[in-house]
Amino acid sequence: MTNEHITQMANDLFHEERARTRLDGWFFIKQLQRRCHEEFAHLPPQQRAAETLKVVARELPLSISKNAMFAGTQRDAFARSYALINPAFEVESFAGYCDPTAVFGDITPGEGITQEEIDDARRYEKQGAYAKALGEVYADVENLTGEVVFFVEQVTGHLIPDFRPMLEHGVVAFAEKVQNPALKAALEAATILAGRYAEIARKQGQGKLAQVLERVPRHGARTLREALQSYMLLWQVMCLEQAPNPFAFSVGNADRIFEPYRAAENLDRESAAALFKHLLVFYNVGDRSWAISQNLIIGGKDIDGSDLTNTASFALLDAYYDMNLPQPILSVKLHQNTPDELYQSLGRFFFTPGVLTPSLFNDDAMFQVLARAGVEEADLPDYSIAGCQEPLIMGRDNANTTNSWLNLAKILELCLNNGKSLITSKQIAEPVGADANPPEALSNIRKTFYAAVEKYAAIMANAANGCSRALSQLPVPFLSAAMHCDEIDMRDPNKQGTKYNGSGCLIHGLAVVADSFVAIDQLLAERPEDADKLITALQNDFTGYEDLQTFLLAAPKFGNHIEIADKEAADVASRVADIVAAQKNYLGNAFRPDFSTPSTHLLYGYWVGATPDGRKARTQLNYGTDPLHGDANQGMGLRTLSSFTLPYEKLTGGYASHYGIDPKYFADAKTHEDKGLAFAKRVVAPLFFNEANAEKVSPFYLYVNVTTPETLRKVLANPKKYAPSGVYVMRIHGTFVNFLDLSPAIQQDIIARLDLESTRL
Amino acid sequence: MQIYTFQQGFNYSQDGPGNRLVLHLQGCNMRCPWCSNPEGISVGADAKSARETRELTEHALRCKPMFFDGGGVTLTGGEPTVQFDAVAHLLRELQAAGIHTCIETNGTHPKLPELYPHVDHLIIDFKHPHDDAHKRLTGQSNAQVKANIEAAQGRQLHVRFILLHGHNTHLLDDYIGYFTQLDTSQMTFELLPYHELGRGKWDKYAFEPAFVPDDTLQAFKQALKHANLKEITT
Repeated sequence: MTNEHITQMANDLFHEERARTRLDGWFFIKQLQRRCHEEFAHLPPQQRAAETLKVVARELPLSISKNAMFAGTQRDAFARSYALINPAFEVESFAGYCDPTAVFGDITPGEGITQEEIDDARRYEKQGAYAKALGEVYADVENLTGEVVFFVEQVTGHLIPDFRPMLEHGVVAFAEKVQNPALKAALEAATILAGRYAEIARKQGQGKLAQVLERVPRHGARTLREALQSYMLLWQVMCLEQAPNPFAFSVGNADRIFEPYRAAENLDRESAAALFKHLLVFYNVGDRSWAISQNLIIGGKDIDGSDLTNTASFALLDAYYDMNLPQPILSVKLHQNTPDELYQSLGRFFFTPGVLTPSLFNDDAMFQVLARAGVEEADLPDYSIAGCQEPLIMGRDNANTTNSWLNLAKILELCLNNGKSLITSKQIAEPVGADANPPEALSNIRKTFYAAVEKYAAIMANAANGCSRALSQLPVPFLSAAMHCDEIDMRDPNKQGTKYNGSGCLIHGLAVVADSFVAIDQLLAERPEDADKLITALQNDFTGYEDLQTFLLAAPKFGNHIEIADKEAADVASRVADIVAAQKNYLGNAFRPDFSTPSTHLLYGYWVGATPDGRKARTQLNYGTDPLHGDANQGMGLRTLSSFTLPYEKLTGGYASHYGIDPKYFADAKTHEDKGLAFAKRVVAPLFFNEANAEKVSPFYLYVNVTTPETLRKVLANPKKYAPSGVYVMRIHGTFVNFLDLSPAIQQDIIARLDLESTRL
Repeated sequence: MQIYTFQQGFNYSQDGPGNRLVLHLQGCNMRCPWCSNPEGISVGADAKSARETRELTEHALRCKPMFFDGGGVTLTGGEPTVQFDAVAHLLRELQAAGIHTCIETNGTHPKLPELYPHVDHLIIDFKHPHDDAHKRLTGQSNAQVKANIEAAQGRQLHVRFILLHGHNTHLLDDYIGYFTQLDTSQMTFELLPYHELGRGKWDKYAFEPAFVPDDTLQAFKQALKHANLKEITT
């Protein structure tokens, strides 16, 4: 079979998948789980989960497309759920990710499923111990989560399994070394699936595929094809175990995982790329590629600083570029000694309109951050990204990344407005006496604010831990095996199973709060007579106080390399990170500060009134560690210098930052390769590897969209002309998506946040 | 000493070598109707845009991490020499601070050569070879521009030809003829064909489009090459 033929099959397979408008597998699994819950009621929970997984592997309806090079799908683990790629999604209607029964609203009767069955399944789920435990957590804090002072959730998915030993030795040999009977049993699910797929392949005349399935994952892989097949089935089982919607499971350092198998058979780059195309299609589920935020990484360095880019790195890039699919996400690790060849190969991604762009990680800085956080040196090269931008050690780290979400801007609002919401006038928190003497309250605002952050962070952490404990009622023996967690379940709430453990806290509103402090100072210094008008102006969303708003908007803003504003942002980031890191999770480990806001800067901004930086009520907050869009207008150089002030060593949970870049600044470079090098020189090196910033920990993350608002408006106005394939890939926070699949609110957010004045070159 | 700016930002090797902090200084003595920064023309001093030169030097020092690939500070406009004394002061301060300096000027200030020792990279715009047309287009004579270019012979100078179709592109021989008389060993040349990047900034844009046809541009390139005048694109 030629590489062209294999590629054509991958393309056809993708189009088959995108034609699927129903995802019913998860509902079938739910029904099997319900049956098994009773059938295996006599077993301990982890053993019961393992036996249930085997039943799912035995009874789940399976099929293999004629276009498939590999058997397996993760389709049955996902519902048509993810809000942001649902065109009906509206910022105003966002109700969170938390309700474990909400997913039953994402399936419609048909294909043998009745409304009565859906309703019955939902009722059953609601009565379960897990849903009840979660419900109690939310009931305790609903006053604070209703307008998003903070938010908490149980974290499924969002991990990076280590399948390397299973690929190398096979599941049977791997299981022989496992002591825990539940883990042993769960591993059998992989060989059960393989056996069933092999039978289908044989019946359909796909003899080569049947042979591969007879070999793996039971035994060790010898070729790239066997390794990929083994990997896909292991992945499938891992997802089935957590159905529905284990978002953001991630592959990790994909090039390093697969390179040994490519090298073993000396497969050339082009042939490897053809096979990788089928791996990429595997990660696309249904008509909108619903299994979102699954991350593959290439590149990076070893402990001794040597570069780890290999042939598989480039073959994966070739596959990504040729296919240009909405999923899975591509990330690239960079370091001082990243070869030019890699930057040259990346140029085509950044400078082809509508093609995916990888997010970029700085290994040099990331190694420092993780080492300070307690990661052993030997584990550092194995860090990789779970979901959007959260750094975890592959197969070793249960980080509960999205466990909690803190809204600094809402906390500031409560501090300024005496505990009352500016949006609903509801008394959310205790009064702090702010209206007694406004100038005095304003001059003390930092003290009031940080005390409030401490208070709410503690309540939030307690609730988040409640979610983690609730989730522990759903053991995951198969994933535990892939997380080197042999003795106990990795979700055990009392004893740590994985080598590393923590809980994430996504922190919102950094720039809005910092700029608000600066604006308040300026008001007190320059217009003290107006200080007592500020709260009324905020309450009225500046209506009738336009002059005051203009004054506040003109105050120095983070992102323009103005010392007073940059220092304030650094101080807010540092103090809040310390407060968050001081919170203990359910196992006594630290919460990890993560300044990322995956579209939640929109959703949470909707619940925040006007702020003293001049921002209007219900408008979005700043994205991640970025300035509020429109506030930084001095170009990329000064914005980059501002970003150097932040305490990256404390952002152990990660952070998000985006540059929208006008391609015109690279018009002087004629080829994609030259543009890639120019991009490295003008954007990457100054930010990541700036010698003049070497005394500090440098920024370690960036994603970009290289386009203009005009281009995107044209795409929306005439998609047939500008995106004839129906796919126009853009980055949105840590993931990329088909721009045309997004809800209008998110499309407009992407356009607004290109913010080209902040990145002029 | 105070200096008035209306815009700042970094760019890479467009206004001098490497990555540079570009400071746009307020005020211009020309009135080019196609100007892309009309907001910088008025000379009126707006207190909000006033900064001490010392403050700008300190700012530049804090920007040093971004001066890679031989970068530094570029003063442009408006027309920077409208604030001649402040510019001279600032250039000296920057130079003393070890920062690479560049000035982009229309070349009309009679004392411009006094700045040369403090300028590491000099850029002069050359808008028309004929004095009467130069006056008509910009409101200023080109005699001083030529004198300042001539005073820069033997030292680094980057000359930019502002090409406006229908106004100066038919005078290729005059351009070449003028420069081939000079010592151009240290000079580089750049063609800047008409664009309308500033159109949206004008209340009323009153200049007929003067886009330069590609064959005209190519003819200029060829002529520069044949005359051994080194053309570069920034």
